[in-house]
Amino acid sequence: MASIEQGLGSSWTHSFEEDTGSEQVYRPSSYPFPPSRRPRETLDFAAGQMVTAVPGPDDKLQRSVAPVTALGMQRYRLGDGREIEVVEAGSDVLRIRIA
Amino acid sequence: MKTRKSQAGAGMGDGDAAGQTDGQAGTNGNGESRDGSLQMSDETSADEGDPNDRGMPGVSVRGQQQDMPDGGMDDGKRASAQKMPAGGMGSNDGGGSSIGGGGGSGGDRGVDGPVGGVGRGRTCGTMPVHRRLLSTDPAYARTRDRIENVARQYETGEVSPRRAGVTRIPVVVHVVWNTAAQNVSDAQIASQIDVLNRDFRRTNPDFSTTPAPFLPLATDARVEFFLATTNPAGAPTNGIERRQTTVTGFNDNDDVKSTASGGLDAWPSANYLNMWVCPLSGGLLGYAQFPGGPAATDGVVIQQSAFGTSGTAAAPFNLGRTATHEVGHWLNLNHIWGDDGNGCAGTDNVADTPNQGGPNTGTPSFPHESCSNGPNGDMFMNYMDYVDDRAMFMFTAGQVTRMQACLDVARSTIGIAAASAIRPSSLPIVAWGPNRLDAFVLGTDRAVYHKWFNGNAWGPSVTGYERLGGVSTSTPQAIAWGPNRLDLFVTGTDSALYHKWFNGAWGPSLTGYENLGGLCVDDPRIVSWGPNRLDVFVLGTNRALFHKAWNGNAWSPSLTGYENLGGVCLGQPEIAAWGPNRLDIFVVGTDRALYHKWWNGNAWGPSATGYEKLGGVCTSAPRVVAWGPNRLDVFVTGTDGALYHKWWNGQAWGPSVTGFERLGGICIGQPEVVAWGPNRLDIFVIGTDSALYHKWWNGNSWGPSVTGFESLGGVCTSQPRVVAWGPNRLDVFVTGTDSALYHKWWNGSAWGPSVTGFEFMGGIISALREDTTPEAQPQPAIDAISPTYLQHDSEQSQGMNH
Repeated sequence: MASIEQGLGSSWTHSFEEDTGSEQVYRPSSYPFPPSRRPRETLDFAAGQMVTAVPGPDDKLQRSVAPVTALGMQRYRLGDGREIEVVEAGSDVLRIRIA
Repeated sequence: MKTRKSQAGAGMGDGDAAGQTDGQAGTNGNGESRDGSLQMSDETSADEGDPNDRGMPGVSVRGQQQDMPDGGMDDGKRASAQKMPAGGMGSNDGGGSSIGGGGGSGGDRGVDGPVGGVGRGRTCGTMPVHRRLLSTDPAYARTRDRIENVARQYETGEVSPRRAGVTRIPVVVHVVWNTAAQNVSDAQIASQIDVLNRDFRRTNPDFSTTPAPFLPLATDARVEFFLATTNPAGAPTNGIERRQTTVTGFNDNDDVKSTASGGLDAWPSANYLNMWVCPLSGGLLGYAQFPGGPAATDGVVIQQSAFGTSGTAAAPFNLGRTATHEVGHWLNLNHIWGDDGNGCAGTDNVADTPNQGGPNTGTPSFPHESCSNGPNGDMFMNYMDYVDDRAMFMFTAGQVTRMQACLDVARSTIGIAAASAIRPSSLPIVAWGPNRLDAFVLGTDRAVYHKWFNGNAWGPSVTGYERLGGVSTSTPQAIAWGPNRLDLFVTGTDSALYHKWFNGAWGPSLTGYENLGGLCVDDPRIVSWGPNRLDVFVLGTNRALFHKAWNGNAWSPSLTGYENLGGVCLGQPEIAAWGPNRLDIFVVGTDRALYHKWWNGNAWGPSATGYEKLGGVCTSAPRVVAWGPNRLDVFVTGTDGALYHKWWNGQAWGPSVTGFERLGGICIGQPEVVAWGPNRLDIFVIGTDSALYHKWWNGNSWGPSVTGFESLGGVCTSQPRVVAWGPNRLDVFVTGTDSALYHKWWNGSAWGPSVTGFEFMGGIISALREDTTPEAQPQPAIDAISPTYLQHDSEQSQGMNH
């Protein structure tokens, strides 16, 4: 089975302006994001793990690490029990639903 | 200042030798009245020991630039380079091998260096600083718990804010730039301070656009901000530091907060709001540190393009609100949605803000509902949401209470008026800003000579001097009450006080002086407790203390008049000002005890001409430093030559009213003391081998030990003169046996040019003066008490010493 980083690429930054409903849109860090006071979450996939960085109470990013298990059919289970459904995974966009 | 008994003209000491009227300053009959609680030995011998101990005149080695001339004096004692020379003066047992205490090894300063940035070097996957500290540092977790518990007490009304009126917070802006455009202008910085002052006082024009349901909640936070006017060392500053960095974009790992990692070190967070302005990568506009965290990283960081309202500030973050938001965090405010993602369970710990789902961005339209918070919906116009600058314009009353709770407890020392106004009293060396030094000495023609360091080079040259004229009979005393402002005082051959000033050019002329009258003995001392304010203290021929003041417009009591403050004082008075309109004066009486009087803004204490007796038998003039409001540390030498210390902590004298803490050593002449930050003291003395010695208080303990000293080498012929133009920075000046000026410095990590080396600064420095009052000078005592010249005149020293 392909590793998650082979399937999804390695590093993504939240383009939250493009989110629709439950679907979250991520772009490569090189994407020309509009400036935002809201710090942009990041997802990094490496060695079967997902490192997430989300804005903290002091506007710094808080990082956490979760193991990722591939379930097939573009679905992955995180170590905390949540599941990611990959809607689209291209070279310049990652669309996911987290349940 | 107060109603004065004016003595116009040259009225000082004109036969009125009974100037001390309250009898509290030592009178000639009090020499034996040593307080029983004294810890200082009371031998009265002023035997200076072997004249060679003074290292005078020694061997002149003018060509040697990295080392003080080392004339081989006192070789036997120099062998113990790690200790203060034991034995010798004032020691009757001739042994004294334990006096020096544990010696300090040169350069062993690692233990008391600045606290490193805890968050630095974070690797991928670790949590940010405060989260990691909460998890791993029980003390930090307890501090945060305490802050939150207090905030809840304020929130529920159990406790009311203690600070009345407006708290004015001194700000230091650290500009760290990579490209020239990022080096934001002073005007852009000023525009940011203006925004903060409008937003935290609810005088922002867009406040009126607050939606009607929320308008009654919009509250004045009663906090204002100003660029610091005094740096941590007490020197004047414009509150802005700049450096270029090779870092093209910082992130939130706090590298920008350390000089070592490409940024600039924090100023003491107890007294300053640190604001770093730099390029931030990843679109980050700014981040903050909550109260209770490490001082070395305390403050806010702002993306340069989101800073202020002009220059590099770019829409939609060009109204200065990023700093408003981050300073809100710095004052313990949480995000308005409660930092729980998009949930409705989180709280910002403030009752009068609506429950809110996730953050709002951009410029939402009112109302915007979430978490069933209709009809008014989210308070997205609150500074603590994530909207664009033009969409945020209010704090609530609950948020203000939470900020005031933070000011009362977690940031209790910030914005206390005096904290930013502590300035050292006059010295021959002065720093009016970071990396700026001005040195004033007398040449062999008794004219005043000047040299300066402008941050890059010595002017007029490394070994050259600017001649400022005059024929002086006292060591020059300089003070700076503002950037690029110097006031210089000397006495003339007529014993009158003379003054000149620099405000971009020398006044009244390059070599001219203003005559301020009086008949002065010994050196004047000057202190400035605020911009364009000078208080001058001199001793009259009757050895009473006299005072005059410049209030920005005129001298009082008159151009040449003085106010008589009584006493019979030996040696130079010592003055400290720990806050605006506050003065503390220390003198040694004829019984050699230490005496104190003070000006509290309204009146002299204990009386106009009275003094508080603080005990001791002093063999040096006192040296005093105030590292914080209502804090004084006093140092003298005792009859055993050791260094002694006492302190005022705001409530009482330590170790007791008349007691002293013994700090060891055998010191020649007067100690020198400087504080480069709160609860930090550096003391320099000359040992019996004429070498320079150093000890320090790091907030917790004495270094290298309670009674030990660090040897810094040299053969010195003057007392050390020390100035600190920034945190963890020291510049020491002495004269050598060749009468030239020598310099060494501590840069935060090492002594330059080496632990025991000195930089040669040229000159043939003299402080020759007429002995105007022989009848008033009991020779041995005065010699011990007033070694106040950059260099003792050898002739005078012969007369007094040998």
